[in-house]
Amino acid sequence: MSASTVTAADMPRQSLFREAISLERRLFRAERLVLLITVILLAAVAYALFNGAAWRDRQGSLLASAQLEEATRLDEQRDKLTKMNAGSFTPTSSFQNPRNPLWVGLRHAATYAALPATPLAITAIGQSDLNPPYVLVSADSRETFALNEEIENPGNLLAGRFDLAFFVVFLLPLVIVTLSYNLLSAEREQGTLAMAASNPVRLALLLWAKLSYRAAVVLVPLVVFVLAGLLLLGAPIFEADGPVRIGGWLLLVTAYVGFWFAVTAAVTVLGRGSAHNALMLVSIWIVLVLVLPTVGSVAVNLSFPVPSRAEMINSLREVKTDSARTADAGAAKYALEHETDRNGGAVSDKDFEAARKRVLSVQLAAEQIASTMAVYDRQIARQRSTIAWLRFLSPAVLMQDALNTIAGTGDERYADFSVQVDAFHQQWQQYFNARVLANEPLTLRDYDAFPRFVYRPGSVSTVIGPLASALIGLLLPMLLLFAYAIRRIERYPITDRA
Amino acid sequence: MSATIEALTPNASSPPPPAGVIPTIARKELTELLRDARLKWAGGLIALLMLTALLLGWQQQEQLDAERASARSETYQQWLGQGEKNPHSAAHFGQYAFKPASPLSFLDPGINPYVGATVWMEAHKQNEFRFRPARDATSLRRFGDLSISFVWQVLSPLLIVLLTFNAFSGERERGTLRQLLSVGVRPSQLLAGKLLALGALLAMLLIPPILLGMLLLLVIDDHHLSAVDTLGRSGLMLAGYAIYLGGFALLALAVSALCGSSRKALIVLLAFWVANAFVAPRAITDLAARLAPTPSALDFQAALTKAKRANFGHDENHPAFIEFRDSILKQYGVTRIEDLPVNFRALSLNEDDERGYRIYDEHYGRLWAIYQEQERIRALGGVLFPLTALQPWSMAMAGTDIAQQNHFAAAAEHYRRGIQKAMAGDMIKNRPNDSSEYVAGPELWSSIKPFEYTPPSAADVVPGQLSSLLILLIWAAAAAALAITAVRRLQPT
Repeated sequence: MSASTVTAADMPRQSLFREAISLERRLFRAERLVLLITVILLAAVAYALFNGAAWRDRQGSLLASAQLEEATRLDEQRDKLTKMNAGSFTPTSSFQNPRNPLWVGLRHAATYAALPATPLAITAIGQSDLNPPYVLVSADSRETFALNEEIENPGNLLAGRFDLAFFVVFLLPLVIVTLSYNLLSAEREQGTLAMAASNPVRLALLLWAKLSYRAAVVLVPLVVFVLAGLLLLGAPIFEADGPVRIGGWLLLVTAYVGFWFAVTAAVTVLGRGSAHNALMLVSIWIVLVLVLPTVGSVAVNLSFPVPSRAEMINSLREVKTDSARTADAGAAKYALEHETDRNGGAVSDKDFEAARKRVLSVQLAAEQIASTMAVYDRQIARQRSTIAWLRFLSPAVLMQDALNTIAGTGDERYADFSVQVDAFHQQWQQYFNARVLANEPLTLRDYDAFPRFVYRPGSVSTVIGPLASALIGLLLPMLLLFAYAIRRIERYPITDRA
Repeated sequence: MSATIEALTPNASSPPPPAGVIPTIARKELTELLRDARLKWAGGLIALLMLTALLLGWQQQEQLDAERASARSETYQQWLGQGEKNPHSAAHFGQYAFKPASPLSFLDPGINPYVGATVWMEAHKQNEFRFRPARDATSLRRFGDLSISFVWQVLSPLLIVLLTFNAFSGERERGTLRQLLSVGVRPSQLLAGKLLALGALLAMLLIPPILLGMLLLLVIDDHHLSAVDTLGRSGLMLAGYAIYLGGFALLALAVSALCGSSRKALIVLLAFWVANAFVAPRAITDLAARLAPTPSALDFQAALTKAKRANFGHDENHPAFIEFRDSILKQYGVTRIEDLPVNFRALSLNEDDERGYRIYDEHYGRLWAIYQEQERIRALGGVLFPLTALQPWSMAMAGTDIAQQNHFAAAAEHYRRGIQKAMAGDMIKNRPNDSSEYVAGPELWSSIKPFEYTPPSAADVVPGQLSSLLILLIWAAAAAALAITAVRRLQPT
């Protein structure tokens, strides 16, 4: 390029490629396209990340106020117990008694099991609007707390949120389509393609240069804005497994962008007009992003229908009534809640009897409740494992799933959280039930030794595994489409057919 | 196109053009559209999706309704069969309310996947609805539900865009626009003809599923809503879609006339379609959530608990309790509880409940007002992006919007209070004031009739949603005005 005497044929491939790229750059500059795309990306990324950060902050303050509520509640109990020990407080009922392991385990010390946000939580709201980040665990049976929900206008849940994952999965392909639906066709329509082809440059190289330049126009500002946004909004991307997640995110987005450019390349080499290409690309987008996911959702639902929760409610009630009858705890609960016990602070014989019955009834019901609820979990798990395969049909599903995983807001993480909560619930029940059945009063030292929930994050492989399969699912069709494009481009018509 | 020119030329030699211009244009346009390969694929796909959505939606609604009906009778049987116990204990046992599926929810499931249909009606507490179906599904569901409303709200406008983007620009590019105008066809006639053809085509595509839907409606055995009401609701719903799709057709024609090239028209229209179907609903939702934030469950409960501290509950040392006790003693002119002719504990329970109702009404009232405000903001966005105004209208007619969910919640709460009142009333009359046990039996339980819910009629629902319809109309009128202005300025080159 430096010496004008060197002919094009003598030039190494690399500089031809560079030449083509710089031509593209001039064309884009003339149309101010780079600026336009950059502005669109900046606006979308800023808005999406800002929304994601607002959501993360809301979730965070939710957890903080939950923990504050729990601490205040426990302090109140400790305070009562101290006063009781000093003789300055006498509970009016066994419910009010801070030594009574029954009601302390059931209500007063009930503890929040919290699911911490991941470093990249702001990139995908995912399923976190349906699954609250905490569960209030008590010694009561599982169904009383395990499925509790956050208050929300269902209209908001239906609409969904504008987060970065939404922008990447839904809108980024459209940006790519808009940039490249007329990749070669426009030049052919203007007659300049024949001119370009008269140079000793292969069409494949020209196409490759055009694609690379456009990919850079999309990817470079996107990556820069996202990284800058994450840092500005205080996402702890260097903490814990943050680097793995951010690395995964970058790989995924690159692969997804690559896939959509491969689609445009494959459509381009068919050699039809610009308008036809645009229609075809939009149709492909609709099928991959709208039709396949909704139809897939229906198919999964029909294959593994989750039974009605209405049925569960009634059958659980049947189970609980039966076990309560067996333990004759129904009356006991009533007595506990309504009869005052003025015989001092100790758990009286009458209260002990009632407490024992209540614990027995919860224990009797536990197994059946677990097996009834397991039916639902099993069906949902089957749906999930079917989708693990189905998602390979639609890169959009693949991508959304993977982005949720990276943000820690996917189905799998909530399922894992729920399993950990169940295990902790059993530990909690054992701790308190043993004391109820032994009629053992709680001491201040016990208060400090109550079981605490600590979330055990999955190993890095729980992120890398799905990430790797998603990458394969994106890169394989991408390579196939590019291979097709390279083969087929030899037959590309460089002039409009008359 | 040449067919039109031939058909028009003999009469067009002397102005004004013949009366039959518009039908001629429409006929020609329709023939051309029907020959279009684009339509065969897109229309075929849409027809298939509509058929699937209709049949599946209907089948699932029937199943859901049957499940809920049997759950309703089961919860009532459990109530009746709870054995002899203290009536307040029975009130604690309570019943569950299961929302019946609205007969038109198979056309537009609306918020159904995102709201629980079940609430426990127990003593002392107005509970939240539980079990959002979306939580029992996977993230795949967040891509959307396959329903008639999805096809009509999202895919049909796209079909219109794809069929119309080159309506004028294409004629200009082929040079046929100049010919048409030269034979004296007025641009407004061209617009009317093209619009008519598009309307006819959409009718061909949409009327069969509408008829099928009507047929399925007839089969739905629902005693909750009258057939007339259901028919009225579906008619009003269709009217909303007609305005929406009509507006889209006008807008697409306007853009096609305004844009210099078909390519530009296509890009502008697709961008609008994406903004309308995907970006606006989310962006406006975020905005609404920021302007009128939903409280967290924790804050909501904390506020309730705090407010309820003013009530005495079961606390007999509470100042409010002592005050109430003294007022009752005074009312009956006695000095000791034992001397009261009525049961004091039941009386105090009843009083505590009454005070609680006011608190619940206030707090739930505030929460629902926030939802309403969010919905209002969303609907306002319809002036620019009509989907956010059409959606609430469609859901309201289908009976699947938040207002009708809350209508059910209010009815369930009313029923719960009825149980409380009856149980306390029985104890006030019959329970002795000494410490002896008092139990009631099935006669008392069966004095509570099963919970029967009557959904609001179309006439009750429409006024609350007239603003959405109005916004939709304003948008469509703006699209019409744009189309008329655009064709008036139509340049053949």
